[in-house]
Amino acid sequence: MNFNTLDLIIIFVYVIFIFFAGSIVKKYVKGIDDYLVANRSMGFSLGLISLMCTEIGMITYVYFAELGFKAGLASLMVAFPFIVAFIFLGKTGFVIKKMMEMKIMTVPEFFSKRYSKGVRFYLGILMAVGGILNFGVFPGVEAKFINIVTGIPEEYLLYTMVALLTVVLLYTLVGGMVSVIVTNYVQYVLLSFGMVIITIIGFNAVGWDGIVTAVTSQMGDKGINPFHPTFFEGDFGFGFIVWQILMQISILIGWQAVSARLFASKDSKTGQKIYTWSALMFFARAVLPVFWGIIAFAYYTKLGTASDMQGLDALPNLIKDLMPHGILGLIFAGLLAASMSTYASYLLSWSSIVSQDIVGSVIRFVTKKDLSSKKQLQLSRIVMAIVMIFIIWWSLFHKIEGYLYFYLNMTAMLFIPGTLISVALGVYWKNARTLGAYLAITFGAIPPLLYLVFPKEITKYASEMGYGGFLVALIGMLIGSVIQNKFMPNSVRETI
Amino acid sequence: MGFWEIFWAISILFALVSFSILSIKVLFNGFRELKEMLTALDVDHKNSD
Repeated sequence: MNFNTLDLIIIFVYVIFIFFAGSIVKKYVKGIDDYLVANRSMGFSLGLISLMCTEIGMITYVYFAELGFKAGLASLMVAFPFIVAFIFLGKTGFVIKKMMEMKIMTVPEFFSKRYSKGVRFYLGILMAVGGILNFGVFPGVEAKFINIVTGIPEEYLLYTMVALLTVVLLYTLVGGMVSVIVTNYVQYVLLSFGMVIITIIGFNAVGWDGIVTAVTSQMGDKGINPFHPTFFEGDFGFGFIVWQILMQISILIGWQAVSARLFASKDSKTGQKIYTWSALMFFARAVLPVFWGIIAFAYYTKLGTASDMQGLDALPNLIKDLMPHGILGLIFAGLLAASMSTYASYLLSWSSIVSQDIVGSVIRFVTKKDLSSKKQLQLSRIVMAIVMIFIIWWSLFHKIEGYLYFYLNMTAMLFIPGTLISVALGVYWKNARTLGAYLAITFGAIPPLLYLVFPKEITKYASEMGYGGFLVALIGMLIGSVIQNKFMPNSVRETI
Repeated sequence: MGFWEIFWAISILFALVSFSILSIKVLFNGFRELKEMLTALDVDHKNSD
């Protein structure tokens, strides 16, 4: 065991505290609006905290640190598309303003209002598959992280994972979005402290010269220049930047765990403000963990063990080796905090898609009437428990090829290009039609599907597959809409 | 020091400083908002009861 008594007390007190903080807010949850979007009562600061907590888990740190460890300083380029996407949406209100004014709870709801219930159902399925496959690798990666940092033997890991997820499940089941927001606040205190302290202690251990020397001596110019050999050919060059900007914009519009924060905001102005200021937060969310990976690379290069280390193991080893006791307990509690809030939010988000957009649509189709708010709440809770069981199973049996960051991006890409194109054109182009939305969603899913099925062959074309997905989704929308307008001009023209 | 070395050093420093300042600010204001949100939800439910 790598922890001493002080570390263990800190972690124990934290877990107990967070469980009670989450479950005592049960009294504030009366209906589905409270449960899924906290009755749209979230202000600017809480929104920002909640968004950060949702989008930071141990896995976030691990995949960014893997990039830094394997690709050096050049991989810091990954942080810049976040700034562009957040500021663009926050300042212009592109698409998001309209969606907030429509008072929807999930993104597919937009599709039933603008296109048809069938499109909503179809997108809901792709979203659930992509989202749950994405979420499905979290417990496995994080269990390994916990294993290295704590020194808990591997045979007890499954139990640790199940225990943690059960605590999260319990307080999310009873408190919904209100408990997520309350616990997020407590978690952010530890999380922000941990991020700053790891950076400072890690940097002190190697120094800037140590970092630059290790990167340039082991990786050459490629480790420091993202555009090596040219702007168009570099791993982090033109193709990567275009793909990532489009991808981040789409995620901010169509990723349920993120857009749920938008829908929970008091009004569209607050939502836009949250996005604008999140630019800085998300920049740091990428830069700092990538930097930890680079620090780990420099540190273990100095010790002569970097070449034997897996990229995903770099950060947990660095934390275990460099952080003093007491601080280690606090940081671990912070990391647990980060993961628990991500699990809680993702669980809530993907379950709401399954319960509202898939199962709910089928029930409405069969019975011809809407479920009561109480029934929706019950359904959401049952789905949540099923999703939880599935991700533990998937985590145990699925092996990832290539960068974890690209796997996660590509699972999201299963629905993201079709969502962005259909929503954007649905808002701004009156000739966008239902057939166009179907084709955009279908075409956009093909490149990421190829990547997920043949990861070894396609890894080096990740950027091309990335922006290619958006291009073919656009082509699908144009072809489908033109065909429907030409051959079925009298069918109902959907408007919002 | 080359261009990229300076560029990355500034980026990392900027990320660390802006994250720290903004975190302190949102934690401070967030506490007040949290109390207001819970009070508002409570009042809402009492009225609807």
